[in-house]
Amino acid sequence: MNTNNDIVLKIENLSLKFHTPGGIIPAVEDFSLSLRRGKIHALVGESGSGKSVTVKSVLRLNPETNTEYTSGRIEYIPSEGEPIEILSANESTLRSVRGSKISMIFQEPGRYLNPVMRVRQLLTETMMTHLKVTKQEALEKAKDLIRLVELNDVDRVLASYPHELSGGMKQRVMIAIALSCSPDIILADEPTTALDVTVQAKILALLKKIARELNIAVLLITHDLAVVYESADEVSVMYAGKLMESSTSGSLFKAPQHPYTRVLLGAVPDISRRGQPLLSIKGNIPDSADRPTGCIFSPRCPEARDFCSLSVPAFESLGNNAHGVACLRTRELFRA
Amino acid sequence: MLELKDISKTFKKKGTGLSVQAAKHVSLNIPEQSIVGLVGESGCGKSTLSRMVVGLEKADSGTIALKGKNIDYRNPRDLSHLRKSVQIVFQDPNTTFNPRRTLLASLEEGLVNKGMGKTDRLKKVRDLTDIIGISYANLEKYPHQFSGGQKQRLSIARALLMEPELLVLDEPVSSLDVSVQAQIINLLMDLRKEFGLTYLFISHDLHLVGYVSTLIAVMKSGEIVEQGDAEQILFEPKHSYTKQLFASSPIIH
Amino acid sequence: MRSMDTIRTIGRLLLRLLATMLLISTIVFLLLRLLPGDPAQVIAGIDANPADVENIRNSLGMNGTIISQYLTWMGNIIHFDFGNSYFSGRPVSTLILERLPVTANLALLAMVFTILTAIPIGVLSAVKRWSIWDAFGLLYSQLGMALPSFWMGILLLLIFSVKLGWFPLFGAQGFNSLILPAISLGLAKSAVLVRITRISMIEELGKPYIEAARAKGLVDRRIQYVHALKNALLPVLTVTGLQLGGLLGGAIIIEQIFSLPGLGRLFLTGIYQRDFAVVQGSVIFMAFLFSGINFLVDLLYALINPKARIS
Ligand SMILES: Nc1ncnc2c1ncn2[C@@H]1O[C@H](COP(=O)(O)OP(=O)(O)OP(=O)(O)O)[C@@H](O)[C@H]1O
Ligand SMILES: Nc1ncnc2c1ncn2[C@@H]1O[C@H](COP(=O)(O)OP(=O)(O)O)[C@@H](O)[C@H]1O
Ligand code: SF4
Ligand SMILES: [Mg+2]
Ligand SMILES: [Mg+2]
Repeated sequence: MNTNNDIVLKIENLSLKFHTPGGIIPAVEDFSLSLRRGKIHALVGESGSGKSVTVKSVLRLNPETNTEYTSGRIEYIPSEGEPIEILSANESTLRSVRGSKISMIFQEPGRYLNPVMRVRQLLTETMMTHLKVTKQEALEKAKDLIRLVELNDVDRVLASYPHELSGGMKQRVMIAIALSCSPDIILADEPTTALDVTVQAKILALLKKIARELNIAVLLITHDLAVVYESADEVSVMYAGKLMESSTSGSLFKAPQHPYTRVLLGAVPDISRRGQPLLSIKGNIPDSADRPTGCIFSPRCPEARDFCSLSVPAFESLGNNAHGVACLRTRELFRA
Repeated sequence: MLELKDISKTFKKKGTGLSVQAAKHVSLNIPEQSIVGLVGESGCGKSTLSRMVVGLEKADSGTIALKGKNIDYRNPRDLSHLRKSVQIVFQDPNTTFNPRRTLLASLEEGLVNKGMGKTDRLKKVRDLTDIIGISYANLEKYPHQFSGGQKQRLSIARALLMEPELLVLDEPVSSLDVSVQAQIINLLMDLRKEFGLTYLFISHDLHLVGYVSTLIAVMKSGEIVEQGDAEQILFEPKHSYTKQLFASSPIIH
Repeated sequence: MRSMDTIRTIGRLLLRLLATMLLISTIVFLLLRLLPGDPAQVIAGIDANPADVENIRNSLGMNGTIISQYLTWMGNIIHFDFGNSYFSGRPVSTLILERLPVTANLALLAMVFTILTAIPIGVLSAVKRWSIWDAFGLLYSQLGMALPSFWMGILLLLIFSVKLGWFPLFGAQGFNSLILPAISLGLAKSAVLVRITRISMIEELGKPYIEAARAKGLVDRRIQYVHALKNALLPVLTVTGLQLGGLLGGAIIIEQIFSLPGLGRLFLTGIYQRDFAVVQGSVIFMAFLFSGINFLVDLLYALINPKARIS
C-alpha cells in the first residue's frame, strides 16, 4: 500500500543548533520523518518542542546567521528528475523549490501577508517568479485559485488588502498562494490555531480535499491531538527536539506506545469521562540549558526507571515498519 | 449566588458610527457551588460579560444580583461588596503580573489593601502557595522567571487570597499546552472542593467546558442561544448553533 | 466602494486643511491686536503726528469694531491680499510672489537632495547590516546631525565657491547658485532620515510577512525593495512631511548666508524695518504653505497605506 514511490520528502536524522548569546540551543536532534503524496502527516508536540524549526528546515528558512545544521539530510524527491538534498543545495536551486515545489502556510495569516499588497499581487508574484506566465495568464489562474479555495466574490477578494478579509478568508488566500505553482508538498505550521472552531473545521476539510484531489503531501503542524485524529493519515510525536513516536494515525490512536503520547492523549478532556481528573504530566518541557541525560522525557515520565536517565533510547520499529517508538521500556509497556 | 437579568451592552466603534452589541438581553443564573460553563466563538461577548460580572464594566441595562441583592454600580459599597466576593482570572498569564515586582509583592498587594498585618499576610500567602504547588521560596522571583503554567497557578492564587466565593475564569487555559492545561484544570477542581467555590468558566473549547461544567450556556454574537444542565446540552443539544459547534469541534473517539 | 473610501479620505484631509488655514489666519489676526502696544504708533515712531498714525492704522486695517476688522481681514486673505508694504508701498502679495520661486526652489532642491541621499543610504545600511555600508551610513548620519547647517553652508562656500570656484559666491544666478544652499539645508534632514529609513527597514525585514515572502521563493531584491521597502517608507514619509516645515524655517538662515533674495530675506528685512504688513503676510503665507505640503504628504500616505484610508 505504502509504496516507496509515494515518498516525496525524507528528513533523515536531522540535528540542528542555534547559536545565541545565551548559549547553544540544540533545537532538533536526530529527527526523521517521511511525507507521502496525497497524505497528511501531522507533527505534534507541546510548544517549544521544535515543530516550527523542523518545518522551516525543509525550506532552510531558519535564520542563516545563527543556525547550524549539524547533521542529517532532507531530500525532496520530485516525480521527475533527480532528488534534491535541501541542506546542501545552492541558493538558486533552493529558491526554485521554495513556493513552487514546496510551499508553506503559517499560523497567523494576518501577520504573514504583506499589509500593503493586494491579494491579486500576492498571488500573481509567486506564479510570475516560478512559472513562465504572462501577467494576464497569472491573473486568470489567480481567479481559478480563489475559486479552488472556496471563496466567492472572486474579484472583490483579489482586489482586497489583507486587513479587509476575515481570519478564515486570509488563511484561504494563504492556501491559494501555496497552491499557485502546483506544489508537491505543503508545509502547514499550525494553520488553524488562531481560528474559531467552525472556521478551523472548514480549513481542515479544505486541506484534506487538496491533499486527496491534487495528490499533494501535507505536513500539518499542530499541538491539538483532536485535530490530528480528525485529519491526519500519519503522525509523528515530537518532544524537546526529538522524535518520540511515529505511526499511522489509526495505529497511534488505537494503541499509543510511548509514555509521552499516552499522557498527551490522557490530558485531552473527553466528555464521556466527566468528573474524573485529567491525566497530567508533572513539570515542564526541559530548558535547553540543562537537558536531562539519558531519555529526554525521563524527569517527567510516569513510567521512568533508574536506567532511563543513563542511556538514550534509540528510535525502533515495532514489528511492522509503520509504527516506531523511542523508549527503553517499549517491550515491557507494549499494549496491543 | 449571582444572577444576571436582561443585561445589554453596546460598544460604539470610534469614528465609524458603527456599533457592536456585545450583550443582548443576557439572563444567566449562577447557583451556589456550581460550575457554569460559558462557551462561544471569539468576539461573541464572553469577556465583556465576565468583566460586567466582576464590576470592571457597566451594563447599559439590566440587573446583576449577588445573593439576592441587586448591585448598584454607582454605589461604592455595593461595588466593593461585589469585588470582595467575586474574583477574576484572565487568559494571558504573561500580562497579569507587573514585570518589575516580585511575585510575593504582587500577591501581597490585595491583602495590604485590606489592611492585613505583615505576619498574617505572609502566612496566608505561604499556605496558599503550598496548595497551588509553587514553593514559597520561589516567590522572590520575577514573573519572567516562571513558565506560563506556573504564572497561571499564581494568578489563581492571587484571586483566592481575596477569599472570593465566585471565581470568574476567562479562558484560563487557552494559552497553555494540553499537559499544562490538565494540571491547571485538576488544580481548579481540587480547589473548588477544598474552598466550596463557585465558578464561571469561560472557554471557546466546547469539550473542555463540557468536561468541567455542571451548567452550560452557549453564546453567539452577544446572545445566549441555549443554556441548561451540562448533560442536556452535551447529549441533547437543541439549538442549531450548539449542534454546529459540536460538529466543528474535533474530537478523539 | 474603494474609490468611495479614497474620496472620503481626500474630503476629510481637505476639511482639515481648511480648518488649519482658518485657525492660522485667526491667530495671526488676534496676535497683532492682543499684544500690548499700538502697532501703528510703533511704526510711525513716538513723535509722529496723530494723522499719520491714523493713516497707518487704516492701512493696517485696524479701525472699526473688532468683528468688522476680522471680517475684512478674512475677506482680504481669501483674495490673497495682505495689504501694502509700508516702505515700498507695493502689495505684500506681489512681494511674496516675487520672492517665492527662490525659496520654493531652494526648499524643493533641498528636499530632493534629502530624499535621494537618505533613502538609498538608509536602505543599504539596513539591507547590508553590520557591513562597511552600514558603517558609512551611521557615520554620515552622525556627522550630518552634529554639524549645524549654517556652518555647513559657510564650509561649502569656502571650498566650492571661494577655493574651487565651481559655484557662484552669492546671489540668485539660476540653478547653479541653489546647489550649495540646498545641500547645506538638506544635509541635517538627510542625516535624520537615514536613521529613520534604516530602523524602519530593519524592523520590516524582521516581520513575519518577510519570512512568508522568502518561503515563496522570491529573490532577495524583490523581498527587500518591494515587500519591505513599501512598508518601511510609511514612517519615512511622515517624517519627511514634518521636515518640509523645518526646511522653510532653515531657508531663512541659509538665504542670509548665500545672499539669496527669497522669502526669508523678505521676512527678515520686514522685521528690521518694522514693516508689519510684510511680516504678517509672510508668516501667514509660510504657514499656509506648510499646511498645504502636509496635506499632500498625508494624501500620499493614504494612497500607499491602505489602512490609513478609512478611519
Ligand atoms: N472596549 C471596547 N470597545 C469597543 N468594542 C469592544 C470593547 N470590548 C469589546 N468590544 C467588542 O465587543 C464584542 C465582544 O468582545 P469580547 O471581548 O467580549 O469577546 P469574547 O467572546 O471574549 O472573544 P474572545 O474569544 O476573542 O476573547 C467584540 O465585537 C469586541 O470587538
Ligand atoms: N532563530 C532562533 N534562534 C534561537 N532559538 C530559536 C530560534 N527559533 C527557535 N528557537 C528555539 O527552538 C526551540 C523550538 O522552537 P519552535 O520550533 O518554534 O517550537 P514549536 O514546537 O512551538 O514550533 C525553542 O526553544 C525556541 O526558543
Ligand atoms: S525511556 Fe524511560 S523515561 Fe523515557 S519514555 Fe521510556 S520509560 Fe519513560
Ligand atoms: Mg511553532
Ligand atoms: Mg475574551
